[in-house]
Amino acid sequence: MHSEQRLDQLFHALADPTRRRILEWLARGDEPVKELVSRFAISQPAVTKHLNVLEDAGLISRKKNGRERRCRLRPLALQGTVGWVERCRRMWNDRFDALDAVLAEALEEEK
Amino acid sequence: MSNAQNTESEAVVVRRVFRAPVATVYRFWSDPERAKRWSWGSEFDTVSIDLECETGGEWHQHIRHRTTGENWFFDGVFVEVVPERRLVHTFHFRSDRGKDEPPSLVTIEFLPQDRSTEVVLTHTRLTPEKRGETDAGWKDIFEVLEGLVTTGAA
Repeated sequence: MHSEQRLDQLFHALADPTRRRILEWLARGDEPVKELVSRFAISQPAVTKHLNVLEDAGLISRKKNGRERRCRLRPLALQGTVGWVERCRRMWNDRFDALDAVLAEALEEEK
Repeated sequence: MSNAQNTESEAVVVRRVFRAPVATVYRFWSDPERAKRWSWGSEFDTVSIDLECETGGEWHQHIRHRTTGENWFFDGVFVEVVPERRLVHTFHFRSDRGKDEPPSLVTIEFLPQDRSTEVVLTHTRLTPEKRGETDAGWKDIFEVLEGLVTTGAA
């Protein structure tokens, strides 16, 4: 039952696109909470809520370092894979969308 | 920070059919002036793209995040270039805020279909994520490169 609950928490945490994006950022390295907040077009309390969910699921930890609070991914086998694979897929899909638009324009110009 | 225990390589495959002939799609991929026109979406500005699409040629790309101003740098070397059919290049990402990923390998295949072109892109991470051990990553990639160059398509 305990591990079932943990899995539920984990999937709940991963089910939200903003939380997945937070994980993607942290997969590149630790970041101060303040800097994370600046990356998203949502309020600091909203980001804090997401960070609480991620922390409860065991995906991240927060540490006080002087005045700064830093976030980091927790060392868990899953994270290396989820972070990189998802980031990579998103990057190429975004670039393919852009190429698609540019090609459509170019073919229009040729007409 | 080391967070992957898995030592096998990981791969992402992305496919897309573009409604343009293979010659056009390939030109937009391999010509720097045209490659520059693919934007990185609303989050980034492209600062510069420099690419030499020939075996052994290098590519560099510099983009900047619109709100945070963070600079992202990508670079690599073309391992195999078969015009209008296949490109293989290394892929390395770093930022000016200390992010640095181990190098990986990208293979792009262009498959003509009537007047369209299917692009199949495979991005392979050759080493498990080991931050701070990028030297080991480079050593691995050079071994793979050597293998590809010596056994590579004539």
